[in-house]
Amino acid sequence: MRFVIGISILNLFVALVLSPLFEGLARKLKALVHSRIGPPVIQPYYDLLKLAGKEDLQPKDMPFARFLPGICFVTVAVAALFVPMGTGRAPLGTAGDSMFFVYIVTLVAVSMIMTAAASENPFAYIGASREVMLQLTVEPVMVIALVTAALNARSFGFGDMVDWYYFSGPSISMIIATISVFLALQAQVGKLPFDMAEAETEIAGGLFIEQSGPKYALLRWTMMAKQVIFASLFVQVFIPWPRTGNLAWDVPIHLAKVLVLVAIISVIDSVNPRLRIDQAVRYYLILVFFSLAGIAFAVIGA
Amino acid sequence: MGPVVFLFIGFLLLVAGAVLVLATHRMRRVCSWLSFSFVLPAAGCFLYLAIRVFTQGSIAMPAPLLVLPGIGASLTVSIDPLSALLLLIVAIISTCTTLFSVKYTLRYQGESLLRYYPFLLLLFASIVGVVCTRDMLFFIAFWEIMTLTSYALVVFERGNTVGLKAGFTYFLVTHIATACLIIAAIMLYIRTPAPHSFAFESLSASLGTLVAAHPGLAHLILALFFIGFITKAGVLPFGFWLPDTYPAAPSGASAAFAGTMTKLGVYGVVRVFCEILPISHHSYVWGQVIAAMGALSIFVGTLSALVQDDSKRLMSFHVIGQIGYMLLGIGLGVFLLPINPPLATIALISGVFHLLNHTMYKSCLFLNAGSILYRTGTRDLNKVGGLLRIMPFTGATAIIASLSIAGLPPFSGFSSKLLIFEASIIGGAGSPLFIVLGLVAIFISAVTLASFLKFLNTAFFGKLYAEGGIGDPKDVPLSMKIPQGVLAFLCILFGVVPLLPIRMIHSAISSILPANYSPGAGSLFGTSMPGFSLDQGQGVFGTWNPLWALIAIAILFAFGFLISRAGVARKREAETWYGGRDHEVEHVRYPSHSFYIPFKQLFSFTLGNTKFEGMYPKSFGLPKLAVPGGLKAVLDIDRWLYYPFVSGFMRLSRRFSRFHVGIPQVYVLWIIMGVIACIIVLFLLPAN
Amino acid sequence: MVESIALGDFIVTLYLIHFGFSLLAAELRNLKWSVAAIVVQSLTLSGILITFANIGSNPSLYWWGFATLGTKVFAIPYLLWLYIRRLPTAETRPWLGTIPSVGVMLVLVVVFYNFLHTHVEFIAPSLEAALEPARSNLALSLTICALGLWVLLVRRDAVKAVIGLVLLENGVHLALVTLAPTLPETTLIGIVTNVIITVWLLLYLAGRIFKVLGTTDTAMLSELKH
Repeated sequence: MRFVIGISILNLFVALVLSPLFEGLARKLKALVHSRIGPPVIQPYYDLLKLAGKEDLQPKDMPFARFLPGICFVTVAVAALFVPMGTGRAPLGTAGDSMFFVYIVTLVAVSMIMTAAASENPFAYIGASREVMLQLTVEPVMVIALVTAALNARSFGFGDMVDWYYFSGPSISMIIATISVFLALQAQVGKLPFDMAEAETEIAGGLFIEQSGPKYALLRWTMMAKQVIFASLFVQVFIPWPRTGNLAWDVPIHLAKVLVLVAIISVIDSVNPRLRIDQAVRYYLILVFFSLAGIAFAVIGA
Repeated sequence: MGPVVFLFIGFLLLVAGAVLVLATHRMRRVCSWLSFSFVLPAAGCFLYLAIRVFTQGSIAMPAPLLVLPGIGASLTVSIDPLSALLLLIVAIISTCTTLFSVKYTLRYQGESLLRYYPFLLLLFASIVGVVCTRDMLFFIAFWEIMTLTSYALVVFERGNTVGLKAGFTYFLVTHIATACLIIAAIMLYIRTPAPHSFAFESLSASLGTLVAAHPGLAHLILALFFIGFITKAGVLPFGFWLPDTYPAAPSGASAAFAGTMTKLGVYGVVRVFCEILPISHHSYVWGQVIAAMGALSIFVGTLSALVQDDSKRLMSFHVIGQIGYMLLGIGLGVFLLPINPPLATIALISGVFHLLNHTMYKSCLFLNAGSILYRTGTRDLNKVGGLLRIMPFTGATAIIASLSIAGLPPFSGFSSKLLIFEASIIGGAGSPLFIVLGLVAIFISAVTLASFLKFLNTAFFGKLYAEGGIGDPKDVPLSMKIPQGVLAFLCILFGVVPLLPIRMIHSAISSILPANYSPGAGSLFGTSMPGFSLDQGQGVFGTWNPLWALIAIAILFAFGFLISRAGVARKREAETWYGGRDHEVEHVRYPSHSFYIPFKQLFSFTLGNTKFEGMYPKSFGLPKLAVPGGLKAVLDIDRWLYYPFVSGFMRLSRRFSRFHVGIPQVYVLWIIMGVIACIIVLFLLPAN
Repeated sequence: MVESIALGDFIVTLYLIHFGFSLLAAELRNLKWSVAAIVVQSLTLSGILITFANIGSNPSLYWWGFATLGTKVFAIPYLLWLYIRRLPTAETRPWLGTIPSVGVMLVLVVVFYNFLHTHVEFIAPSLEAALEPARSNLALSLTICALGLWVLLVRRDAVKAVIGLVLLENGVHLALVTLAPTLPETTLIGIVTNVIITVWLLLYLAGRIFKVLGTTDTAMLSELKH
């Protein structure tokens, strides 16, 4: 029990406290790619603190509008508790397996969409519509990849999947799944070329156009945490090596892997244009079929 | 008599309520409240019975209520846990929809309540009859009553020609389905050992012998049963009537249909394929067929719903989709029955659990659509917006129900969908078909979410707009709020404590399977309350315990709340920014049809003459049969039989009427002649 | 014997007068004269009744005779007179002209009388009734019945129809003497008063019809529909 609480706090720490750091590193890298100096690495912390003190503009008498950003934040924090970060097991893994994780992440996206919808702005609606379509096509990819792992491991729990993969080594099905999830990561974290939901220049911020002050801070924080969580998921489940069994080593190794992944994401973010939503949808539908091949291989045992 | 007396009390209360409407139908309020006051105790009886069956086992009347010895049918009243589950559903849905209808029918000022409440109450009574009997003939008899009453409810609004046409289609299609049921039942009946009987047990025995001796014939019979039931359930392609029919009925009735009537199709499938069909090779085949049909329904139904702008039509398509989920779970269970009892039990439970959950959230959603219709007078999602400002309670229940149907934790839909997915993936290790179907189900789960986000975003969020004017800025009346609230609460309840309904359904499933066939609930689902960890005997393969998630949520909420209080930001209300100009509402709204345009384009195509919009034909280009003229003349009985007869009769009677000249003397003459005739006759009669 | 013959002659005379005036009542177009004929006819009827009472065994016939004096001779003609005053005195033209009408009536009467006289066994209740004078009485009264019925059926005027009814009733009552020799007086009185009420009602109706339609022509009664 103490173990569970301890690891929970660790997960929350990584997801909430360290995620702005990762975001800062990503921004720094992006600036370097752009031949700029860029902001300091701890800039996101400054941003969040500044936003927390800014004026909070609210649309008139819309019920629940005040709570939705908070719900986003809480949901992403809960999601952090169900993903393994270095230990091979999610802290609340006995309470929810990988399917639950997929849905909790969807719930994060849904809360953000509802936050956008609660404002009356049509830009927000466009952003919401795009976000939904993106989620619609990206989620199957994630799910199919996780199902591949589950079919191989004969279980849906993250712990079982990681153990199985660690011990049985790479296989065709898992490689396909890894590639699929990697390609889906960009959309999940909302970075170019798939950030059409919150396109800064095209639809004036999209989902977040009407958010300001502390609410905006929460939403930005949610996005940062989402990045770390998805990165953790990917590196833990699909690249479980190396693993020492010793907590003191595993967690830093995990964080290092996450850092590398975030860097890669950032580089991709820097060099790509933004796709249109129909292009993105088509891209991911093709990816869905690709990842189905992984399932086929998993079924035949390869 | 025992507890069965409650069943009769409930049934009689419903019938009495239906009859009493005859006396009071002119006084609308009195009639409505009277009906509700009859439904409420009836529902209480059914609820009590259901709880009693779940805690203490099946209830059966030892002797049948009515015996028809010549045919071999006897009305045996028996409530096993599966029936009890449906009784529970009827109890909840009947109270909710009747309470909702009390104020809702005020909208239909021109229509007589005489055509609404009796049929609604008789619908519920007939459903109770269907589930509590173990005799096929009476099953079909009650089924027929159910069909007739639902037809009457569909054509309630007489001015709505589209609805009337839909009702007619519904009538025709369901009667064909019932005919299939009758044929199948009779084919089994004649093969039961003499004396023939319609009881489930004897039909099961005869099907067992058929499976061994004439497998092809057994397949045919099962196909007929299947078609009969899934037409009622609304599974594509047999359920094509559903999207046209459900919107036509008043919302209370639509909610009742979606909540109870479609479930009976699934109930029939469960009864036939788990109980009447013995576990055999046929279970393999039919399990796959059922699951495949379910997946087809899921796929086409939900994708078609994505492009709908009419709120009730959207819901109807989702009914089709969700029924597909149930059939997927049940099909998987039937398939696994011969090979893997634990997983089969889990799969069957998943299907039936989804049935229970779907009742709650789908009825709530139909009531929400009804509330929108009540307040704004339109079902078209393009014409409303931002209703959350004026209907916060309805909006909240709509959000809860939408998230439930999308399968998001911690609501009820997640629990059942999780079970279905995980069972189908793990069970698909033996048959890859189920993996594909499971993936279809998961994909469509996202589509369901998208569809309901569209519903929520256009109807409830956004700028306040109603084309017919907003009118009174109050929410719907309390009597309409309570049912929605109750159903939303149940969605949350079953989501937060899934083990409770799972245990109920486990006892239902294990009671219809052979004895000792399915493992206990503890071994299958683990013993930690309130969540479950699925175990088919090889280790836990899936787990969901809402308790921990809720504790985490609660702690984090407190945390977040503290953080938000720490920052001392000023709050200010401001207008929405539209790019710096003043706009009319219609110009800056984001209406429903703008959502998901790329998807609509992706999934619309034209096959021949029918245009498919979002995978569903826009209009049925039904082939027009050119009937030969002669046949038409023969079939036109009016022309060659009825009209000539009538005109001849009229001519004859006109001739007779000329005898009535109006002159009294003539009448006297007639009398005299009559008397003389009598006398002559009397004289001529032989004196006996 | 002489008394009986004398009585028989008396009765025969009465009968003849009765018969003659019945014919007159039937045929006369002027309603007032028709009513006058009825008066005489009823008078003779009373006379016949009293004579029968004299020779017969039924003492209640006395009562009857005097009762008919009151009702048939006074009351009914008075009622008729009352109503005729408000109505046109000339009867609505019947379908048959006078001479054909009379001819037909005579033929009818003769045939009927002969028929009855010879075949009286059909109707006679007892052997005694088959003998004279009961036999003739029966025949004649029933002939008068038939005559009254004929008038009721054939004449167009409503009041004439009532007169025909009166004739019919008279004939029937006369026949009763033979047919029911032992009737008590209360019955007789009941029978007689019954006729008054019937006649009164019919006359009232005729009067109303006249007020509404302006005519007493029964052929026009269907106009009442409109």
